[in-house]
Amino acid sequence: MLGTFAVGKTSLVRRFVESIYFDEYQTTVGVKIDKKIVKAGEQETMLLLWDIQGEESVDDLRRTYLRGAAGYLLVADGTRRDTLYKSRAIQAAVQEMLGAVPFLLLINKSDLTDQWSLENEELEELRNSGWQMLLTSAKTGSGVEEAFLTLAQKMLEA
Amino acid sequence: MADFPEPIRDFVMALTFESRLPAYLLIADDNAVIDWGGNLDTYNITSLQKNADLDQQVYFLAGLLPLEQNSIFLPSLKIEGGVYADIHIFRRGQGTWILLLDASPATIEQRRMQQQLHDLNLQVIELERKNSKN
Repeated sequence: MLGTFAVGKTSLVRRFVESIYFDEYQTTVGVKIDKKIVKAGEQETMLLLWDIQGEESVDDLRRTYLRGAAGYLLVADGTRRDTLYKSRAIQAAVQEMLGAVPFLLLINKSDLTDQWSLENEELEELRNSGWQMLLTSAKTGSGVEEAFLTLAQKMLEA
Repeated sequence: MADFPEPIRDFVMALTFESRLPAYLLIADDNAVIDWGGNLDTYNITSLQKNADLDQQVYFLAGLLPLEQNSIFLPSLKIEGGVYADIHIFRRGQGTWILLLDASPATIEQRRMQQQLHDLNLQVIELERKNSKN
C-alpha cells in the first residue's frame, strides 16, 4: 500500500481484511503486515499486505519496505488533488526500484463526492498512459474488494 | 568496539538485552529455519519447527530471503499484538540471521509526533479548501 499520508491506506486494508472502518485518522509509522487468502480466478492465493507509512515526500520512501513486492496499490485521496501528483511521483520511484510490477491506482474517499477535487482530464490522461484505476471508499466498502482482487489477478498473470 | 573498556561493553550489552528484548532466527540457504532463540514470544513467534520453511512459519518475514545484499534493515514493523520491531537481516557464517529488537517506545513516540504533524497539515488543507470556496 503506497501513497502519501492520510489517503486511507490503512483504512482500505482494515476494510478488506477485517471488514471494519474507523472514522478517526490514525497515522501509520513504519509498516504493518496483514495477510488474507483470496480466490483470484480459479486459484486460492495468500496476499501479504504491507501497509507502509505515508510519506510527504517520495524521497522519504524506504526502499527496504518494497523488497520482494509482487505488486502494489497506489492510493490517492479524491478530495486532495496534490495526492494524485504525489502518487505519480511515487509510481515513478517505485518503477525505478522494482521494475514494471503490476499496480493499480485507487482514488479513495469516493463517498465524499461533494468535496471531490480531481479533474476528469487528469484521470483520463493517466488512463491513456496505461494506468488502471478504481474508485474506492474504505468508509462504505465500495470498490475495496474489487481493488485487492484485481491486483491479485494481475500479479498472478504477471 | 574493542576500544571500549570491558565494563562499558558489558553495560551496553546488558542495557540492550534489557530494553530491546532481542530475538533471533538462523535461516539456511533453502529458507529452512535451523536455529532460534531470545525473546521470540515478544514478537508472537511461537511453535517453530526446525528445518521447516521460514515463510510458512513467520508470515511477516515471508518473501524477504534470500538477501541480495549483505544486510537489510526494516524499522518499526508492527506485529500482531501491537509490538513494533526493528528487524536486521544479515548474512554471516552458516546462513542468514534475522535479529528482532523491540522498537515500541521510540516508535510510539514517533507516532505521537507524526499524528500531530499530519493532523495540523490536514487542518491547513481544510482551511485552504474553505477559503478557496469563499
